[in-house]
Amino acid sequence: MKATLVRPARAADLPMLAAWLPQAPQLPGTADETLLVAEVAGDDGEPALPLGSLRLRRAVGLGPPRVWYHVGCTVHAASELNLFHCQRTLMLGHDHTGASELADIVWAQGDLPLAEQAATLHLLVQTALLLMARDRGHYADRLIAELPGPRDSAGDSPFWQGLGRHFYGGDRHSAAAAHGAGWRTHVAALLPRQPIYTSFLSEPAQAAIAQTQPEALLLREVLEQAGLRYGHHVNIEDAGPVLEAPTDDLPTVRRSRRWQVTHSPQQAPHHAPKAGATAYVALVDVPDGRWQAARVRGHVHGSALALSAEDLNGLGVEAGAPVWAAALGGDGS
Amino acid sequence: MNPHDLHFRAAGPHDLPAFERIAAASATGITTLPADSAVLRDKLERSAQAFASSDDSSGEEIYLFVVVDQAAPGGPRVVGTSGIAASAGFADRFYSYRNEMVVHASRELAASNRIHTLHLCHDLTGHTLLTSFYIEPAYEKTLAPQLLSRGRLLFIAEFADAFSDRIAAESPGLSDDNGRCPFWDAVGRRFFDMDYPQVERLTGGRNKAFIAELMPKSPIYVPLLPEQAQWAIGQLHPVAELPFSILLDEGFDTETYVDIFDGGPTVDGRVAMLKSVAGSRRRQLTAPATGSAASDSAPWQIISNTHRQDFRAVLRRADPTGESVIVDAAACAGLAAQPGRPVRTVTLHEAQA
Repeated sequence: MKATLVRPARAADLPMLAAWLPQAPQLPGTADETLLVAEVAGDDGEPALPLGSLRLRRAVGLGPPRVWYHVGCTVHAASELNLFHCQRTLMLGHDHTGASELADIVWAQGDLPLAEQAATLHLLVQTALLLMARDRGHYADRLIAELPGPRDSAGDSPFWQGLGRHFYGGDRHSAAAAHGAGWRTHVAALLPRQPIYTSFLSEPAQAAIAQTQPEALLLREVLEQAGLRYGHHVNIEDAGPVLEAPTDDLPTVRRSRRWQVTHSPQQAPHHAPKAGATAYVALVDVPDGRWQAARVRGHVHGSALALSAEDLNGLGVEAGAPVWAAALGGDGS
Repeated sequence: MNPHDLHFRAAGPHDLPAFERIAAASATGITTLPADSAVLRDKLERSAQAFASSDDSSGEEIYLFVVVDQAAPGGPRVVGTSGIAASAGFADRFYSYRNEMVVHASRELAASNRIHTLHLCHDLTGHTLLTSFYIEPAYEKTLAPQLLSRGRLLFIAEFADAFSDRIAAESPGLSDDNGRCPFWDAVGRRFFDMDYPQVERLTGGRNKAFIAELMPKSPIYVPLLPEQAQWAIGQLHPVAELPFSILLDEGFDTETYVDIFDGGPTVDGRVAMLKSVAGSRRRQLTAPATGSAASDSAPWQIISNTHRQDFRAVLRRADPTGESVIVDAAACAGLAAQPGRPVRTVTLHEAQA
């Protein structure tokens, strides 16, 4: 398997990304967003092949407000009636305003083995976390990532059918196409402001709450491995879960630091890394203010991170150069 | 039948058999009169006490009235009941759902929706409450229901200090003979695994507040309810159409509140604005001059005495103007009042009569 690199997106990536995303992507206009692209080198001078992309946002909801439902509970109890009911509630709010976000995560699926798809997603997510750690001051104390909710056989969201549709009669898909991601902000103005008892919703709508679309389960697994968790928020359109974590609790952020790289003492091409070598995700600055990141294996050598010549080459750095890197946990986190 | 034979009066413990008969006959409709002799006896005793004590009222009082057909076959017979609770939810809270409309709008989506919501509220706590209305079906087309419903308003007008200046009345909502109640099934049942009749039994004669406290506190968004339940909001059970139409004519507002259990309309209003209160006035009972007779073209009047303990009212055609009201000796007997005594009268308009 050839080495996969993650780097900032270029204009040339956009046509490929457009095929994966619901809305035609744009390169970030400001430093508030970074569009990451994972690619694998092509054969013999062929252009590299994009494998996936992820948009890292520094802070969400500070322009047009972002909305989510908080999934809560209210208890109705009466001992003299032997009654105890825990009612699930949905409360519209802007709870994650200001959080950083991993968004628009798309990846090549086709007939790629799941393990390869997972590796791509993993590298995209870990690279985003390294960027956050490197520029920690630019990112929020909380990180979120939205996952899509289930669809029924007709392609509709059962949650939307049970709730949103009663408050917005128009076509959700054309509204989303016309307004882009901001459409949820607009439709939120039409949704109930007060808590909704989910028992007033249809059974399929209730069942959809916080469920992940099957196609996105792999992504959920990768995000959970990285340390994000469902925290009782869902998106207002299809009730897909919002995963979240305190930024500084994420293992990759916690473990990351600046290193100098050095040659591994036992360097030899294709030489299996010696016992004790650990998987790292490493990010280096390259000319023109750009950067690139890759997964490497290395071990701590004094105050330096020792890498094989192949990994140094893959990262495009010379010994002695600074890198940002974080050891990946035994479980790959 | 001759409306002269209808006598309206304060009920007392001796009316228990009549109340038992009526409670048994009215399977649907009057939760304030459950078919339970002990409860009925207690109510009649409390009512007699309330009529008897002219002390400052506490708000706990209930007043029960009956209409008697003096000429019924087999002798005078109670053919209807009505009542007043001085203060709704006395010593606790009186729960209702308040209808509210919110407009949700998005300029960007060019959408604007009026959303109907139901808010659990205590607005009617402390209002005087009209209760316990029942009329035998055979008397529905007579003036008896008018006398039953409006006679108690004359009592309120006469003894206004014992009542709130705001007044309300509950009416039963839609339910079928099997106790299926679309509003309850869509709302209350989600919070209690009980059929509507079960809940009625739990609350019958008791304050509903302890059940109400378990109902959802957040507004209910009506568009999320099944269509049948949406339609039931503010809908009247057919048995209540007649008493409801009288309240409507009195000027009660029907749009604001519904019952939290069955979604039936709860009407409310200001006492002073009700037709029978605003249109009633004190006059002097006067015997007719010898040989004269009340004109058939004079409008029907409800004429009540001004006795708190032995409150009575009758129907007579009489001139609605002037300081005195001329009535026959039988009417005076029905009112337990002699000529020269004060009475309160209100005209029944054609549409009402």
